[in-house]
Amino acid sequence: MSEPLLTMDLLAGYAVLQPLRRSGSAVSLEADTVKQNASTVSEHVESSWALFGAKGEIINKLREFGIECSEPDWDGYEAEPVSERALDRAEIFIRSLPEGVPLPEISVEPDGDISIDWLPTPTKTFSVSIGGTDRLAYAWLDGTDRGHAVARSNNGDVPPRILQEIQRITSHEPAFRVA
Amino acid sequence: MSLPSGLPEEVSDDEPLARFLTSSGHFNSSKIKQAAFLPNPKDGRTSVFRHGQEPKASLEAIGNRQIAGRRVYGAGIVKAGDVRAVELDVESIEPPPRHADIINWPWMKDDREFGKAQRKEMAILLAQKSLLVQFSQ
Repeated sequence: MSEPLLTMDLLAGYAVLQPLRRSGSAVSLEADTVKQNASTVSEHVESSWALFGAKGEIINKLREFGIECSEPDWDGYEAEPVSERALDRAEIFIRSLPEGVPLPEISVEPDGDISIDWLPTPTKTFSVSIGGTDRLAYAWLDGTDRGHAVARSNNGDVPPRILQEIQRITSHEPAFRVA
Repeated sequence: MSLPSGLPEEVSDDEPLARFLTSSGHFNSSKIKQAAFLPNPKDGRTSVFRHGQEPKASLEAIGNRQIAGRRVYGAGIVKAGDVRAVELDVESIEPPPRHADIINWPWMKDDREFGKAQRKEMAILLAQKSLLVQFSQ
């Protein structure tokens, strides 16, 4: 069962910070430091909320697909149903994506695996499949460069090799790989 | 040699093939995703129909008839030559009329995930070459 994305503690802490961000009557170096730190923390929390909100939408979509694709032949082509284990692992993977990584799109594959895709341009794609095991099949297209591989996930998190590929595909750098 | 549909048995490279889209997750507003082209795990084939984007009404009618009971969102149209360019092949299989399969997907009995990764790369290439045709709601 997924955890709540926001806790009352976080909300309470955020609320406490707000008065500290606004200009007050204090005129000391310490007061300025407190105000600046409160602003920095608040901005980070707000950024995290935006991130969690967007991630929350993706996770909701994941769960919707889990229901739509829960029966055999859900696609009319004899697809296998998606497993709860694959859904749970996919959710962990999405939650583990670090801040700054563009959020992916979700789909279900005919063998019941969850596909997590980045399609930043018509000539760039990165796709990783998440099933019931910790071995993740992935493939990419980056201009004329293309390939496929398998990486092992540690309890569902994003393997460093995969994170590196996602960041490369979604960057604005030209497609070039040193042999 | 002609099939019951009147089409030749051999699928030529310039023939368009339609892969009907039955999941909203298999495409976005502008692109088809690789999952749409991955093969059926039971027989290792991807079912397609020998039809291009036009006439659209005919294409939509085939999709609704062949995938009865499910919403058909549209189709991904890809040339048989593009399928063969990624080392797959196309085999005509009738009935139903105009039906064909994309075949020769790689499978690795000893390493399920690596075989899956190979298929994903091929499906990404097919998706990139394909044209998205969306049907009316």
